[in-house]
Amino acid sequence: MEENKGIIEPAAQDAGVVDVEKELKELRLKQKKLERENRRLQIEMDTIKDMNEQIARTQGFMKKENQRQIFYNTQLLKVSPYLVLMVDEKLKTVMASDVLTQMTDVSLDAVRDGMQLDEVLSKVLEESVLNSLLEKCHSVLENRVSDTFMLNNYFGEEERIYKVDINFYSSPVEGASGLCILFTDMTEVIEAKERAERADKAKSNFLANMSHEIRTPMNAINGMSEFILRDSTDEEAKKNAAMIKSAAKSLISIINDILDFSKIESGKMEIINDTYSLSSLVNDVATMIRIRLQEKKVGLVVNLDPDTPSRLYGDEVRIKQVMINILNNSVKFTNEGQITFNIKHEWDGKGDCCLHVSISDTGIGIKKEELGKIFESFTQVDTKRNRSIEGTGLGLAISRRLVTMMGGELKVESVYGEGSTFSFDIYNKVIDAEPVGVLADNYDVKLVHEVDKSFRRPNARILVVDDNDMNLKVAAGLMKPYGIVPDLATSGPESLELVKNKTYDLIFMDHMMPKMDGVETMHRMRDMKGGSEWKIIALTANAISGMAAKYVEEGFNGYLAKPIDPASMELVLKRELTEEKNEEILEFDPEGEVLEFGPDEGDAPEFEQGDSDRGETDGKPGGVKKGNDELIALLEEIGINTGAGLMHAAGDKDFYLEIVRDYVKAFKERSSQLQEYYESGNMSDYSILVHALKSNSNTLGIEDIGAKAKDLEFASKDNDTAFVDHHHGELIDAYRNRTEEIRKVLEE
Amino acid sequence: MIKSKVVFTEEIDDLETAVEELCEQVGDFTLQKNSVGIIFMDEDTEYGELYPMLKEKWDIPFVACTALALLTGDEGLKKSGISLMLMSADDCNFAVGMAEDLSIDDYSWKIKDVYSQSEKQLAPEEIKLVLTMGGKAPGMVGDDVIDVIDSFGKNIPIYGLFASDAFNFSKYRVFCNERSGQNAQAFVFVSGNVNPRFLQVKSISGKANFSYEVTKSNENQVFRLGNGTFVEALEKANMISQKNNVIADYIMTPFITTIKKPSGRVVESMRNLTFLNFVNGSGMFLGGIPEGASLEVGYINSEQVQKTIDEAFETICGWIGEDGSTDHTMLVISCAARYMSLGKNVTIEAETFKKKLPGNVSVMGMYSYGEFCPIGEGAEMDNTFHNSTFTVLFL
Repeated sequence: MEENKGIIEPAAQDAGVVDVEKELKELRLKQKKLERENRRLQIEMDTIKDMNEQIARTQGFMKKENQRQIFYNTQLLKVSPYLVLMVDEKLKTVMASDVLTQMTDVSLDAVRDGMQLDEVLSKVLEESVLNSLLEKCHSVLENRVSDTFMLNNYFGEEERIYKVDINFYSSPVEGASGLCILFTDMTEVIEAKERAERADKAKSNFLANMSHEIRTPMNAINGMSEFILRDSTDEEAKKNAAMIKSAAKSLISIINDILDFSKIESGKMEIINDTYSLSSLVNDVATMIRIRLQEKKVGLVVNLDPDTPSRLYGDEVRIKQVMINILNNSVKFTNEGQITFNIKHEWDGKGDCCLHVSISDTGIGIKKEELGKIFESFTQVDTKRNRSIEGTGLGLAISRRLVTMMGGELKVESVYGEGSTFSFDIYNKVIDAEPVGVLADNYDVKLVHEVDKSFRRPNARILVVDDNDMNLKVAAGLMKPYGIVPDLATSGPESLELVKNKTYDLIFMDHMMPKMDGVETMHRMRDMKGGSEWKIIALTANAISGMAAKYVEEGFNGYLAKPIDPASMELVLKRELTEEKNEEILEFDPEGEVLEFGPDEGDAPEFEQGDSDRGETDGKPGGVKKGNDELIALLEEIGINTGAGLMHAAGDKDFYLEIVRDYVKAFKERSSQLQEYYESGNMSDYSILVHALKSNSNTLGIEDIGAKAKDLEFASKDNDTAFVDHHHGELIDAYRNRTEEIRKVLEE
Repeated sequence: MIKSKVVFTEEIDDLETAVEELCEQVGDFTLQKNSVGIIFMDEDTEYGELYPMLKEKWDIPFVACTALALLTGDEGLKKSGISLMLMSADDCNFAVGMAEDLSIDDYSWKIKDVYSQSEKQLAPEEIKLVLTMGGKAPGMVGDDVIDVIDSFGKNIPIYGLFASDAFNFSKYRVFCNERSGQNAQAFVFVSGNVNPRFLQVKSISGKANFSYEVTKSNENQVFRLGNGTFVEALEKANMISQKNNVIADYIMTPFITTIKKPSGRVVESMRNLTFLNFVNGSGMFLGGIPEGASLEVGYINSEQVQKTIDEAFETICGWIGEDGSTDHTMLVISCAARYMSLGKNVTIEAETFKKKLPGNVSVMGMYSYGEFCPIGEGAEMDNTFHNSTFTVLFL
């Protein structure tokens, strides 16, 4: 049999199948891998396509941004007036502002390509200056701390001064770092500053030297107008003189401010320290402000820390000036409510004592945005609202500077429409640590004078001459504690009669009286036998500085301001009545007779007798004190400033209430007389009578009537009939209502 | 001290062959008292088949995830395959767990559950390191996982990744022993003598002039930048495509955000934009961006990547042997965005480490959809979620 060709043996057949299967499996795996790879590639390509599109968009944005930044930078360098150089850490230039081309022939392209800094600037700066600059550049590079310095350099013949700022810069992303050097030409600025300083100094020196030259003629204007007022009978001339005097007073105040300010500015103001009494300082300030507040319905509250050392070492004048400046402002800008004047202290028993002074008011306040301006010189804030309020705008500027010179700082807080608080601290050495004590309980207006009970002059012969009964009564009342019972005269002629028959130790002579005023009366007395030796003191409402000397010059021995301050009265009495006379007591009976007046010429109203003793006084000391307190409180409630009234009554409540009753009683006569003068057009007598009403009202603390009367007094003196016509009826009505109110209180 | 062995096979279809190759490479590496296996593998690998085979060879817990591409110290970059790290120690312990089927409503307690169970398992030892791999669940961001672990207040560093796939975004998976899931988070909790160090590399070569404050956002969705919407800001800069799904578009121009951490420290982190909503003008990111954070646009180029990776390598070389250890383990997780952005230079990162480290340093890594890596050290450490970042865990 032959071999069967082509037939595969079973074992070999199996091995072949396995090989094919294995191969098939491998092929399938390969295919799987290829398909997988293909899929991945496709996905990757799609992803890359998306990515590239976004990259293109981002690159487009960045390119645009870069171009914009380049443009901005180029513009900045082109228009910058300053020389700006940027250099790398090797001091090779990177870029520069166009100004460089004006200073040297170096091109900006060359700068951008990179030039050494010294090569660029050697054509601009002197060698020594350049070396100094390079040194500073190296220092900044090393320390990474910026530097600023001034650089003087000659450009030809011209010296220029530059402020050079060298700043280190570093960019972490780009790896770039170096210096940015900025040259700012300060030449013109410095020259302008020096010119301004010279001018300022010249101005200040000029003003400071003008003190004497300005004040002298001002004093003359003031004094001459006073003489006209006193001596002239020409009403028109007197009216003009009053205006001149008023204007002169304002001008003096303004000039003082300006001169003070210029003195401070030119460094010529000195703080002159001396020992002073704190209570006296506070008292003086409060008194001055109280006078100003008579015209307003604004209270003044003074809170002096009683533990404050009583005597300190400081510049009393300047401290007072600052306080008065600030308080004057408060008075100016406060129309109702109150002004609170606080003085506190801080002292550890050694070293200087700190005085914390604050002045708060319920005035119009200051706008927040203007608070920073109020201490600027010649600046008044809220001018639209405050147009009518006068002022140089220097008061606060001066005050601030004075406080600074005294080692403190003047601060202000304010709420517009509600009020302001000014405060400052100053440090004074303590001379006497004894506490200043309580000024007064519920101190409202003024310190109440404590009578020196050891001073007694019951035998003194005193004459008081005043056309105003209230003034006579007050004067007599103020002398009563000293056992003095004065003679009283209501006119010049009356007093001349009295002195013919009696030699007086002391005569108080009112200045302004009808028909024969106090000056004329005094002169006539001097002409009498022995008259040149008589002590005659002027009583005057003209309490301006400098007038004391004038009265003395006129022939008086001194003057006493009205309303009469009890302390001042005591001083005058002590000064002039040096010895107690050992003579018989005068024929006047001190008990009760003080209320009776001598005959007058019919101008002054008569007082009704009897009512003054009703109910309130029984002669027993302290017996009706409680009733008096109640009455005074009731008067206070209806708006009477009893504090002021008591002050003028030397604190004697009985006396005060007595003269209040007299005031009420006098209404009928006085108002009738006023009406008569008004209807007849007799402005001269009208002004005298309304002046008396003003004086009496203010003396008693009936300040609303006092204020109205004052306006009419000035108007009638100025012959301003329109004003008088408009306001006379108002005064009479108010006067009537007020006295009626007071009467009801007293009768209750 | 942890010892480890990294092995790799390109075979993902014939798993028997694959496992044989892996076994052969493991050679005489001996497991110590406690071990865990970490696997990075191609998305097409049948893990259900692979796991029993591996389990038969090494009876240890395994955690695994899919990967876009792999990186090993010996092979460098591999676009496909299975890499396995056997991590073993006598003085460390490992506990594994997985929180599955996660959603925005329940991820917190589920992860806490896994943590608590593992904590009990490792007790009395304290957990010193958390390794995690997850699949991003809808509405969740990587910061959420960090917040949960951080809420235990133990300042435990977290290192890990979001599993990736070949940019189809549907095939990524995570595995823990026999379990698998897509919206899941697998954990390896490590206790004992472990002293991890971390590195992050951003490789930003520059920033565009696009910088805003995030004025309205919710988790990973940014509504407003400055005074306008997010979309408006991109439109203004002309840096916008008109598509909704933009995950691929901004790969090379990632966003940089500065975030204030609960510690008060401010950290800078990268974020990949994935989706644009033209109705409400918002943009969605792979990670959270809180209100008040700043947002800038940076760009990556290969030169900068090379430079920064070289610097990282130098740093790592300095760590070798520093604490007296003779063996070191490194996990390297880089962002899929970097993989794509490198283009033809895709091997830069892998080549830096390939065969350049001493033999006692085993390296395994992958490219992920998000990286967990702390910034700072010790008391000043802040667990942070990143995108577009190259990260290293060094043991």
